[in-house]
This record gives sequence, structure tokens and C-alpha cells, in this order.
Amino acid sequence: MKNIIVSTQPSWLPVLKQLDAKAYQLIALQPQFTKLLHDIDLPAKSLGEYLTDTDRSQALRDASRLHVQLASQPAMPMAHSTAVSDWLVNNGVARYFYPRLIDLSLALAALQRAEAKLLILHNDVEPIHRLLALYAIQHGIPVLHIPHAIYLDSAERGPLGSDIHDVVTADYLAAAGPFQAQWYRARSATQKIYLTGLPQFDRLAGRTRKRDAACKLLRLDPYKPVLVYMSSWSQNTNLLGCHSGVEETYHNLLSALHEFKELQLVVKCHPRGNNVEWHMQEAAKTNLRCVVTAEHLDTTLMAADVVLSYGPSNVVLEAASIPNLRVAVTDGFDDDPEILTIGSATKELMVGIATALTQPAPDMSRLLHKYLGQLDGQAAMRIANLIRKLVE
Amino acid sequence: MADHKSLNIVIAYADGDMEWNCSQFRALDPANAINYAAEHGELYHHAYDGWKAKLVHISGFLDYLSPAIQDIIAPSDLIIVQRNVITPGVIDVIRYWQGMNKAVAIDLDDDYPGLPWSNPAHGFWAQNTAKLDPPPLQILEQGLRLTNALISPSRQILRDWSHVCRGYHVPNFYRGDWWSTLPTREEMKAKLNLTGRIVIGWGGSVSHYDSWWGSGLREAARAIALAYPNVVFLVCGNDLRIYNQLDVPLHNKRYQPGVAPENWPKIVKAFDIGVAPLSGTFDQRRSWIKTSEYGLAGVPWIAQEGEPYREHAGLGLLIPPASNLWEKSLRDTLDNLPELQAQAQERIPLYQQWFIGNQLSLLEQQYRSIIANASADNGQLPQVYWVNWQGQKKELVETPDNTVAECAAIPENQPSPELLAVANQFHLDFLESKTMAVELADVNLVQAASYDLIQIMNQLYLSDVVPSQ
Repeated sequence: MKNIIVSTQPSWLPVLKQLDAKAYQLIALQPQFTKLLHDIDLPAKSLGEYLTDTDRSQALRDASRLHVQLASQPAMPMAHSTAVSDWLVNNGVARYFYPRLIDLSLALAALQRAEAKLLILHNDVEPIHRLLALYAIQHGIPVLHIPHAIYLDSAERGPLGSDIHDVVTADYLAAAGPFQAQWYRARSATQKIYLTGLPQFDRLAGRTRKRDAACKLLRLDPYKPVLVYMSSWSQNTNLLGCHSGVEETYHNLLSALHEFKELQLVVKCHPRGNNVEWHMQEAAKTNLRCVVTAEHLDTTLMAADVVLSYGPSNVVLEAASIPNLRVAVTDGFDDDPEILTIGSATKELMVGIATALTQPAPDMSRLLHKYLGQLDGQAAMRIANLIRKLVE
Repeated sequence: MADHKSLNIVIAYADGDMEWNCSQFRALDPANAINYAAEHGELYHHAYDGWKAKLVHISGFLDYLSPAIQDIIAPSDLIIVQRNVITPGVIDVIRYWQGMNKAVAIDLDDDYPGLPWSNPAHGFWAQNTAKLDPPPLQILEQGLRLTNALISPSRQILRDWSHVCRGYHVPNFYRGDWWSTLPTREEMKAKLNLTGRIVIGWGGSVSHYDSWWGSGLREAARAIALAYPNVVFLVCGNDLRIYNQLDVPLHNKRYQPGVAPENWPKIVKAFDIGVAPLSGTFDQRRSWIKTSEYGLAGVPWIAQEGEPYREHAGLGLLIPPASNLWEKSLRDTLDNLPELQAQAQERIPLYQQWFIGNQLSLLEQQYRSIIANASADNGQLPQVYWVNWQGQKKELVETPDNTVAECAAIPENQPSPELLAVANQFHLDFLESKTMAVELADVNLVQAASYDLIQIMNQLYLSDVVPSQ
């Protein structure tokens, strides 16, 4: 039995299902993911199951010692959380720092005890993921990065090396397509990159359009045009970019659409953006009829004649996989003529939407190959094969 | 190799760990049988290769967008939701999956609108003690109206809801491995410390209280205990009221608490005679479980005539409802016990046809029929909001077309508004046929705590619907 540690990524289920449960023991970083795997009959353990009481005591000591060293203060008499929290606040250090250090110490202890043959991560930039990856590499455990998405460049992205994603730690990468492979190659000359495709895009292969059924579910008239606007959420943790862009662009869109009497608007919010109500309220202030939801991506895409995305997003690629759909973005995809880049000012949106509605849908095969590689529904199988190879 | 297209079934089961009961028959056993047949193709001429059945608890079913639930249900052909269609949230999820082109059926194995007051669930279903809004029976009816099918082991339940939903009869079937290799009767009696006694056995849940009180069996039991001192009434299950109130000497009765489902056949095997009393309209909507189990264990049985045991007529002794024939029937059986037990033993293979492994073709027939007749018309997406929509677009009509057709067939003699108000208040239906009034009129009112209600309804109904002579 070979132990494989996996981070929490539900889109990997088709990959993990292909691994023989008798040959590979899956170990999830988080208990919630262990439960999810159990729910679909995949036997799995949690990494935390490998921890001992000694590990927990050691983690407390490690965290306390590190704090003391960092702040050059005399050692604290008691390493319990309340005392440490108080001490942290008194010394101007964020409260979360201490438990984060404990987590990191525990994660390393568990990783050591689990004797993993492979560590699979959906990103190698979160602190705990990066730490595990660094530790694993130091101890000869291969680290495979199966990206949770394709990072897309836009005008907002700074020069190479300015973004947290520019630091590559994992030594193996399963890339979606040529674009992603080149993106990582530009950031790491040594990472071994495999063009496998990504499992979340397998369902896009050979897609057919069911527009009437989708319109019915959304109570839309299938004989009138449908614009699906893919909104977003403010990533205020990001130092770059326009922090009020989501709101400004949405307001501009609502203004622009008053000129399109027959156009039916569907606003698809980000499922974790927590801003559906805001989008509804803003639309309600106008006389514009629209449908708002944060779920049901496929149904909204199937109903659309034009999909407009706020900025570059993987959703654009999902939309591009649907036949006879015109896809536009407010910005990004500058090198891809298949995607209409129309800007985000009211007038730009008016002109851009009108253009998109009147243009025939382009052939997306070049674009899909560039970003998604071999879109044949077999990415999960290829990645499962790669995992077997790395573990051997 | 048989040319069967594979089927993928998901059953959202209702029972929790602490109340595990009918989900065994309605969910786990069928799912296990399907998966076994799929995995052992050589035993089934590969008829069920590629079939798959998966269970999810209804609480998880509600989390319809979770990756695990999507992973399980998205590839399915048919979703069966057991019983607990009691909140709008369940209906939302049913309609979501219908919108995703899944056939969805509801499985009911009890008469929830007709639960007697003696049943602990009466408060929940009939009195809405949980204060659900809308009340659970109203939601259940709405769910049945919107769903693609009703599956039930009771034909009477299917008839009750036939004006609302297309019905499919799927009886309760049995696990062959649990019922094939049983110890002998004497071995089991020895285990239960009943060696040398004649065991008249029965087992059931808390829903059978009225069955004992209204059937005439209690009265007969006393006479039998006095006439046959060696007889012991073995009352099994989790309703101590039945045992405590059985008016026989302590020496003549024994209580056997509930056992794990896999151990139940062995308990039944200890019976010399099995009894299956029925009383009231609720009992007419039971399944054939008791006589089947007696038959599978080679136990001669006495049951009351009615819908549940109609298909077992000729395999045991059926006596009329609310009958005083219990005593005579028990005496006749006791007096001819060796002969009747030998006969019951010979009949075991007849009952074994109802092993679930032998009934997969029936499941297939019903499931495929549900899928073939399913429509996505009632599909609707939860968490979608229409802004500035009022007055510009007609709301979806939440009744399937077949309901309209059924309603059009209602006889001209319509119930009065008063009657409809009473019916609505208690979630009873008068639109099906006149037989319901007759049936209510025939209820032994002495046993019914809701005497006044039934009397009022019958008067209203008879004066309003049945033409005056």
C-alpha cells in the first residue's frame, strides 16, 4: 500500500476514483475532504490521524519558541493559547500567527509520520501547502501540482516575480494545455511539466447545446437573445487591480442594457462571492428585468447567446466549449481573437454587446487547444496514470 | 449476453440509525441486490451488468450542490426519495434534479394521511406538532404532484394518491441470505428459553397498537391462554403497550425486544404460529411483510383479510376483518399444528420467489417505466432569483398536466365547501371515488379516537355526494 497525500480539491474525484484502493492509501489534508471521499466510497484517511500526543505537545513548544525568538522576548512560562494570545497582542503581533505556527508544526509532523510516496496539491502558494511542498521535496517525496484553475494574464498582473503565484515549489505539474505549461515554464526551468489536461474540464468534451431546456429552467424566452453576465467578487487581499471594479462594471452594464429592449439578462455571480443580494438590489433599482443566481453555471451557459465575463476567468473557457456561443470579456484574452474584449465603460459595453450579438460565433478549437489541451474527456485518466508513474 | 441497458439508481433514504426500519426494505435491500447482481454477472446472465445503486441519506440529499452529492446523483437515471418529503427544501431539490433531466420518484410505505391517533407519528403528520409551514401532509401532496412517480408496496396507497401521481407497485422483498439458512424451530426456542412451549408469535413497530385492539385477536388470546396453558404469545418489537395490555396470564405471554434486522428471521423461526391482525383503514395500507416472513420461516399463519395479504390467499388462513373467528382459527390451528407446520415447511419455496434477488426484473420493469414516463416539466432551479419580473411573466404552474386531466374526471356531485374545508384541514381527499366514504363509514368507530371528525365528515359526505334515495 502506497500512501498519497492529497489537498482538498473536489474536482479530482474522477482522478482519485481511478486509483486502485488496494494499492494506494489516500490521505486527505483536511478531515472534510476525507469525509467527502468516504461518501463516494473512496477509502481515505485524514493526515491528522497520524498525529500523536507527542506531536501536539511538540507543536505547542515549537510555536512558542519561534514566537519568542521572533520577538526577542524572554520565554513565556506557559505555552497555552490564552497566555500566548495575550502576549501576542501585547507585543503587536497578530493573534492568528500562533495557531498558524502550531498548524504548520503539526502538518510537518504528520507528513513525516504518514510516510507518503507522493504529495498532490491544488496550489503550492498557500502557506501550509508551500511548507508541505518544501518539506516533501527536501525529504525526497515528489510533489505533484494539479492546478485548481488556469491563471490567466491580464493588464492587472504585474511583471514576472511580482505575484505570489510566480513562486513555483512543486516539482511536477499536470498542465491543462500549452498556455499553462508555458506559464509555469516561464517561472521554473526545472519543474517537470506534463500536458495532461485538467479533470474539471473533462465534462466539456463533446458538449452539445440544450438551450431550450435551459431557457425553460430560467424562465427565459428561447426566441429572444440571452446575455449571461459572469460577475465576480472583490479580491481585496490582492494588492493589484481595481478593487471597486466589480461594482462599477455592473452598474455600467445595467445602464448599457437599457438600450437593448429584447435582450434578456442573466447575472451569474461567483458561487463564493456572497454578493447575490447586492446584484439583485442594484438591478431592482432599475427597471431592468433580470435573473440572478450564484449557482447553476452550466444551465446559465446553455441558455446564453452571449457570455460576458468580468475580466479573464476560467468560465470563459467553459463558455467557449459550448457550440454557437459568443464569448466576451471586459478585459484580458488580448492574444485570442476568438474572445471579444470590449472594456467596461458603459459605452464600451453597449458597443461590445451589440457587436457580440450580431457576430457569428467563431470557431473556438484553436483557443480551446491553447488553454485546455487535448479536450477529449480523458484528462482524469492521464493524471491517474501520471500519479501511478510518480509513485512507482 | 443479455442486451440490457444499464441503470443507475440513487435512493435518498429516510430512516436514521436510531429508527432504522423500513429503509431496510425500501432502500438498502434493493440497492444491495442491484449491486450484487451487477458484480456477479455470471449468476444473472449478465442482465444487470453496469447497473448501480447508491444510497444517500435524505439530509445529505438536500445538499444537492455538494461535490459528493453531485458525484453520486449526476450520473443517475432515477432518484427515489423515501418518505420524508416534508419541507419545501426537499421539493426544491427534487425539482432541481428533474430540471437536470432525472426521473424522480417518491417511495411511501405507510398511509401518512391516515395515521391513527395511537401512532406516535400522528402528532407530526396529522397535527403538525413540529409546526412546519406548510404542514407536512400538504408538502407531501405537493411533492407527489410534482414528482414523476409514487412507488409503494401497497396498492391501496397507490390508489389513494392516484389522482395526484402515477403509481408503481414495488412490494417488499426479502434477502435470500437472511432467510435461507435458519436454525430449527427447536433450536431457536431453546435460545429464547421457550423449549416445550407453543409459541404464537407476532412482531412489529409502534404503528400496530390498533391492529391488536381492533382486530379481535386480544379477546381470542385470553380464551386461548385459558384453554391451552402451554401456549405463549411472543410479542416482538418496540411497542411494550401491546405486550402490557395483552390480557393473558403472565405465564402465557413473553416480550421480545427488537433485534437487528439480520437476526429477525431467527426469531420468526421460533414461532409455531404467526398472527397478522389488521384493524382500520391504516392497516389496509400495510405491506405483506408479516405473512411473507411467516411463510419464509415455514410458520403456519393466521391473518385478517384485506389488501395487505390478498396476494397470499391460499398460503395461510385468512379470516374476515374485525372478526370473532380468531379464537376458532387459533384453536383449529393449534389442534392440527404438526400437519399445518409440515405444510408450511413445504410451502417455503413458494415464498422464496419473493427473495429480492429473484425480483430484479420487476424492479427493472417498474424503474424503466418510471423513467420512460418521466418529464422534466416540473424542473426548477433553486437559488435563482427573478428581479423586476412581476406582472411581466406568468409564474410556472406547479401542477403537472395529468392532474388537470384527473381533476376533469371528477363526478358532477362535488363535495360542499364545508366538506372540502374539513377534508383540507385534515388532509383527506374526497376526489378519488365514493369508496372512500363507504370505507370511512365502515370504520369501527369504537376504536377511533377521531370519532367525531369521522362522523361529521361522513354526514357531510353522505348528504352532499351520495344522491338521496
